[in-house]
Amino acid sequence: MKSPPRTPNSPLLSGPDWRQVVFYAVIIVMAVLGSYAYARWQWGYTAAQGSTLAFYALCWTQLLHVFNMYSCKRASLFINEITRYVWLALLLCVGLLLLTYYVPFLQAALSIQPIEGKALLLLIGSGVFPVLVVWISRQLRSIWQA
Amino acid sequence: MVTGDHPATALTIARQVQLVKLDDTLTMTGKQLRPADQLTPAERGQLLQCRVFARVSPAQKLALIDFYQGQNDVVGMIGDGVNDAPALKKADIGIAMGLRGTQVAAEAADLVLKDDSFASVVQAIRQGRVIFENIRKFVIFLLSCNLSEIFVVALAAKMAS
Repeated sequence: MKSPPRTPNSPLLSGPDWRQVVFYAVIIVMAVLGSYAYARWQWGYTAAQGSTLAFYALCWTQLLHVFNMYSCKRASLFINEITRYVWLALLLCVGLLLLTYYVPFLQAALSIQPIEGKALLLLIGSGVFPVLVVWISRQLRSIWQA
Repeated sequence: MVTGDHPATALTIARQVQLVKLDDTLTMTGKQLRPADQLTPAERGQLLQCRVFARVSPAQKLALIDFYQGQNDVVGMIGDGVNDAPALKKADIGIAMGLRGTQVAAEAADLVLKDDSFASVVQAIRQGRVIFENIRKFVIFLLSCNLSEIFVVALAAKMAS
């Protein structure tokens, strides 16, 4: 109640919000294409394998992107207002992703190619990267503004 | 507080609910209220400082809401009577009493207090802000995810070619 009401005719998203949207998108793209490029040119993945990796990296980074949505400027990464329902939804989505990899007809429908176990580390890294970047940028901004 | 009651009654209740300080005696009556376009800057200032208005007619309630909206304030109006209906409609958010209020007031209002408790207004504002913030976050989440997909597809096509 200490904060004033918002102006009734103010837009849903303000200028800084739109900049934030682009910032998030760019970080996600860096993570996904970074892992794609690394797999292709460091590990010699084919274009099809690279696409599979990019697909999973994009899904995974978007799933973990929910951790960037907490409202406090400085907050713990995992102890914030994100509720247990979000954790359950994350588990469900990871389960669905696993199904796309292991169920043959889903594999065929999505043109999933087999990828090596070490690609899992790359995938985890690509998902964690945006969360860490956003978290660090928030910490730095709050220190800067303090 | 804007009421049709006597100024002394209004001031006593305002003190009891701590709307004004105990030594605060500034009240304005309907007779003292003049149309907003005829107010001098000093009267305008006094009107903005005043917390308790008594013997106010329904038409003056409407004029007061208009005045505060003209100051770029967001106006919430709590009422229960038939004569409050126009002001409930005019306010940015009209709040009606669900138990003792009239049907007309409830229909004109945006929010109906089922328990007639003022504390519920605070609760409603809190809930409303949470819902709005969640919608905003969801839109940011969705837009950033979709924008990243567009970028990924466009850049991956470029990288592959």
